[in-house]
Amino acid sequence: MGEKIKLEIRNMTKLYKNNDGVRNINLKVKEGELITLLGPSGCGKTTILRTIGGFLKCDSGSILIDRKPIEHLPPEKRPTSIVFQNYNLWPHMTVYENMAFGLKLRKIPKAERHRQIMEMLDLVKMTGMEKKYPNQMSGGQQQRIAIARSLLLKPEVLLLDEPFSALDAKIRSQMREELRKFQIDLNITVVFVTHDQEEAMALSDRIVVMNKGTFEQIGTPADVYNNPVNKYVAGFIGDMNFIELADKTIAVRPENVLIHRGTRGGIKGKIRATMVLGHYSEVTVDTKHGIIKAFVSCENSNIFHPGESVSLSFTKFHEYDKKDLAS
Amino acid sequence: MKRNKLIVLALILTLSAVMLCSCSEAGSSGADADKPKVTLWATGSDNIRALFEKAIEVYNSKPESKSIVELQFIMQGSGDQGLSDRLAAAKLAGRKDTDFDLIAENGSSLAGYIDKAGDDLFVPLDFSKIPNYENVLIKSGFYTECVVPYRGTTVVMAYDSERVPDPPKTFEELDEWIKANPGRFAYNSPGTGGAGGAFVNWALYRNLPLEAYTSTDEKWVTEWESGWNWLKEIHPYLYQSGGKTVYPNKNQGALDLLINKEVDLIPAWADQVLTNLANGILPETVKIYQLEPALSGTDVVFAVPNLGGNPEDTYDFINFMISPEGQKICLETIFAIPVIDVSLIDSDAKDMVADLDVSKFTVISNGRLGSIRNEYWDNNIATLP
Amino acid sequence: MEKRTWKTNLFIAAMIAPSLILTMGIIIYPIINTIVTSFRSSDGSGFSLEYYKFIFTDKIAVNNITYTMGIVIVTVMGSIVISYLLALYLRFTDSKISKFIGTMYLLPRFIPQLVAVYAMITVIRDTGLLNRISRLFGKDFRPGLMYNAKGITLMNLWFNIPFATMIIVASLSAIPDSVIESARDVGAKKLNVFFKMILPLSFKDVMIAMTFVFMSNVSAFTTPYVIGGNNPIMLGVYLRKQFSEYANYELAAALSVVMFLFSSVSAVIYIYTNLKEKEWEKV
Repeated sequence: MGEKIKLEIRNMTKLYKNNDGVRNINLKVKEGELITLLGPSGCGKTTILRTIGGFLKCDSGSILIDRKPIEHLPPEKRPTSIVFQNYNLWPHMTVYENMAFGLKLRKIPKAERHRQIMEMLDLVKMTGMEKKYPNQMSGGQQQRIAIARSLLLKPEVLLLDEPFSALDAKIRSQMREELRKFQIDLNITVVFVTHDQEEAMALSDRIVVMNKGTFEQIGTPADVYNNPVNKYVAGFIGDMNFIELADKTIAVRPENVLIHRGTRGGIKGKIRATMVLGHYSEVTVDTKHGIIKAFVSCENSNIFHPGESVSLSFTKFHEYDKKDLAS
Repeated sequence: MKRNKLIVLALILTLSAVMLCSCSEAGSSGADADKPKVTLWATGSDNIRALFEKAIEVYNSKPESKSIVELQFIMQGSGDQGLSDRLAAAKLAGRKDTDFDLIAENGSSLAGYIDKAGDDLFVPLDFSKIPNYENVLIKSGFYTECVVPYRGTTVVMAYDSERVPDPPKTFEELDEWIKANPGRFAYNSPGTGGAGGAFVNWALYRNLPLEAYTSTDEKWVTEWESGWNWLKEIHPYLYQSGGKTVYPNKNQGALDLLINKEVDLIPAWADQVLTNLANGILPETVKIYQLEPALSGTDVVFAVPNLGGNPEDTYDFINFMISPEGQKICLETIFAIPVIDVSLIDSDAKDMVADLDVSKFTVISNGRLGSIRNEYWDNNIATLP
Repeated sequence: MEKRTWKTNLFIAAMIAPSLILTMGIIIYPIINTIVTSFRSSDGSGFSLEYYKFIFTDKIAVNNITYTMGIVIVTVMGSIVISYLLALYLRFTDSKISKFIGTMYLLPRFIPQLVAVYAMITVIRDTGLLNRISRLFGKDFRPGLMYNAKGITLMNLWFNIPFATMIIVASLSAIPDSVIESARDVGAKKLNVFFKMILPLSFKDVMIAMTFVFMSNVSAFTTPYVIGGNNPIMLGVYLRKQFSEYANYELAAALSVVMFLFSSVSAVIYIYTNLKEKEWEKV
């Protein structure tokens, strides 16, 4: 990943008739960076992606790729390529024809076309599928071809709109890894849209957490996880316990909760249940602030029994002012 | 999945069939169950349907009526199988269980019925059981013993008196007028309505002996030559649309041209013109007159087909239709020419038909020669450039 | 699907029986009857092809066939092209006007045929609405659309455009937005998107719409009877004349067989396009 800014969005606003949309968006994406727009559905992440791709016109502001404004260009003239959640492939064309279509439009000679397509099929491990029609392939294979088709055109920015959400969990994580591998190998700039925070954490160089048309926080996955700037981000990324006090909210990740026999900790409570989740266990504790969740290593989990009185302390926590949140 | 759809489809079809059946059952009530039901079959333009609906409504509502009449109406030119074909089919199949109890038809058309179905299609009537029959001024020229005329109808010339102050009366005058006023005369294609048919007949039979008028002998076809030639001669002078002579379809088609002032002179059924005048569709300036010799007209008669019905049941309704009350309905609904002395009828409308005396009609009844005429016309006149 | 028991079989048979019997009685039997009649010879001695020979050699008959085919082909082409453009507009434009048209365009299908025909006549006849409007401007415009092929074709378009549009709109709606957007994304301009994506993906339904329009117009009666001229006439009117005016029952039978064959050409195309699933359409 270089330091060069590949994609820049300046003061962009796009509103729909019902006043939903995105306002005053500013974002810089570096060359070779994979940035994720993360948020619940309706937060405007897809809107941003579609304005970059040219499928929506922005009301104001500008979009630049390599410092050249592109917001006035139709999709076919933009150096971007998009992969949707599904139905990307043209159903009446074979895999080969699907991949060749864009190259033909670029007047690339037949032999060269063939070489590039075969090379790309090899890269995505789909050699031998070129004569298949989309409906003869699994959803995962289709998305792989869709990404390959986009990559083939060497876009300056690759736009991915929840490309893996329609796939089942196992394929999804496999596809994620592969995508990350191509992206790093080929040094492509990617804007990735998802509502799945786990996916965002696993893939991204940086994550943009979105809420109701605005950015809440931009940062590396570790940054966003460890230092959520507000309660919204804290709640959206990872597991978090919230303790409501009169004037503030305390947020603690379960792994930062220590459980003590006796009363050494500040908060008293009773063990409610323990649940083994692989290499760690989840222990839930009833307190006067509600249920607090703690992760403990497996070896320690069997020392706590439901009903036992314990106390809790926090190795790390965040404080959010209630007034701030209200504003 | 396909199989499921099929089952649903079959279910829907069955249900709708059941519903249709039950609906039609519900129609007949038992109130007049003791009176015999008489189904009257009639054919023609919509005004005839209106006439019978009116007359039947009045008749059925009279407590002293001896039957309950129902109307089955076949609209002319609607593409339906004609009444004569239906009767012939039933007759030739030897059926005795039909509901063809009574028909109303032009006297001049009956020859065509007999042609198709045989001499014994109609049942001789017992006129002593139809008391009003003695008031009927004309006795039909054909099958007199089987029919009761209930009105007269004739084709006349209709013209716009504003633009044609002095309409042509004789053949020579008409020939001259048509050629002097190109595009202002039209007659409907003879296969689609009787007015055009009567005009073509007029041209074909004008110089033929009277015996030809009521003959179905094909020898007369060769005598039509000069008539055809005249029709071909006037072809270029008739109504034009899109640069070509066209003949409107149906009686109403020619009337529409007159209504819209696209032509000034047409042959038309007297009753249709008078009806359209009365309800204001035709401008008041439109008047009617008769050519010399007259365009053909006919008495319209009731007859009982020999298809199982009981003639006795029909007499009361026939008697009603030729009573002064029935004649008044005919006159006022469709301006029909009465078959009884006009002075017996109490109506303001009688002046309008005063000049059209049913006993002076030219009647042409040539049976299947009519089909030959239509086919010849379609193949030789309609095809003219 | 689960295995059928004899009960279900019996049920299916019982459900289908009424419609099957009805079909046999009112469709199959008359068809056979008509075919047999059409081959009768005029002297009653046996069977011959004379009526078919007449239909394809008689000047008037041949003229009527060409006339009918001409009108039908123009109707099919015209209604498909106009419907396709309308369907494209309805599918890809999101405005108040397109929504309004989208709800209104089927209206003509709810108007009884004869009413529509007479309504059209009051507009297009030489003294009709168009003429009256022209007279307001001091002109005397006579459309010349009555009693000829132009008027019939116009009326046919009026009837068939809503129908064809309905089929094509359904077909275009089945094409996902992402298919079109990905095409534009890889660099296809609008024309390219149309010819490479939209047209091939809707081609089958266009063919189906064409065959339906063809079949319903080749045997049309009301419109040509009321609007058409006296010669040449469309086959539907010609058939009626042969049957109910001239009582040429054998010729009428042969003519209906011929019309049936014309229709079946397009029916074959319909069945063929429907049955021949391309590789990409198989699920």
